[in-house]
Amino acid sequence: MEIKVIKHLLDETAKKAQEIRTLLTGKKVLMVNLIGSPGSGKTSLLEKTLAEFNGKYRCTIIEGDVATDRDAVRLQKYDIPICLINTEGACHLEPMSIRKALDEFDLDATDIVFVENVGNLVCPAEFDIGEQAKIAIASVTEGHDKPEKYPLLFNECKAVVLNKVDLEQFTDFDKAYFYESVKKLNGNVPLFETTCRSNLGLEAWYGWLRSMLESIRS
Amino acid sequence: MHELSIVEGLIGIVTDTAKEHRLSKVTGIKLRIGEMRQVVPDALCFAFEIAGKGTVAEGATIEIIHIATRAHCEGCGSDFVVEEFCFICPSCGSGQVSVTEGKELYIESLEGDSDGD
Repeated sequence: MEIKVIKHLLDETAKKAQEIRTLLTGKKVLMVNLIGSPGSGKTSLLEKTLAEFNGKYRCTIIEGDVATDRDAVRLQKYDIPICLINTEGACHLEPMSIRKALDEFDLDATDIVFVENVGNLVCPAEFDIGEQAKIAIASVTEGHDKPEKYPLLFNECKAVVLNKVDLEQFTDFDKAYFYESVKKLNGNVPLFETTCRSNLGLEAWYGWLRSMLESIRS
Repeated sequence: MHELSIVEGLIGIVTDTAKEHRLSKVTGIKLRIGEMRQVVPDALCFAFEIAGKGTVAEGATIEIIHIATRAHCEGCGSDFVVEEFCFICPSCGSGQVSVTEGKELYIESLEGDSDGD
């Protein structure tokens, strides 16, 4: 016999993600989900951003790594609440573990939760963790074809950071091609060219984050 | 390997549905998966083969219905098929479009033998 079911395969995770989004929005907390390849500069971008935002906004971090606490240790110097999630092999963060991590923070005394996802362009894009914005972080050293090879992330993200632009001269990175493919996937999504070795382009990224925070608060 | 997480969700739904309908065995499962989901059918079937062992759905065949990506233009209102992930309206050139199909990740139906069979 055939039985009609029609149910979302990630029903439980979708519900949990929605619960998190409702919780955060109710408390006027912004949660951003930083997604990029290993070595794209997610932790460096976070370091720069924390150096700028710490003291002005109440920040917390959820650090997702397959193994080790290396990134979490790197971020300890800012003396802000960090929750490390070791996924022990899993290639992405899921809303169940995010929900538990949020319990470690005082959300009434938090403005922004930065989530650094596991370095991967496929699976983290697939899993809604209840964030208000996914951020795609790419770097010129990875090549200009990343958006078209990983369309879901670049379609769903609210902003794109193109990092390591100071290295462009040493690569065959085709910037026009990169811009064109991002535009095809996600219309007018804001794109920030940055390098974390200096402060080039970071001010525009900070400005965008501040405007996201304002829109959550109003 | 997000296929494994998807399969875990699938087995949960199949087990519950089988119990509800008093099925002793699930023999076939039909899924609807959108192109945007980046699901690799072989990886999904392999994960299912492993994770399905010892469940009511062990050995069930999986049929995947692929859904092409479609979008709606916020500018001119036209609906179009998205070719090669180009989300630009072919009628008016606007990039302000919303995805209407292609993100599906659903179980549509399952086939099984009831307890009495």
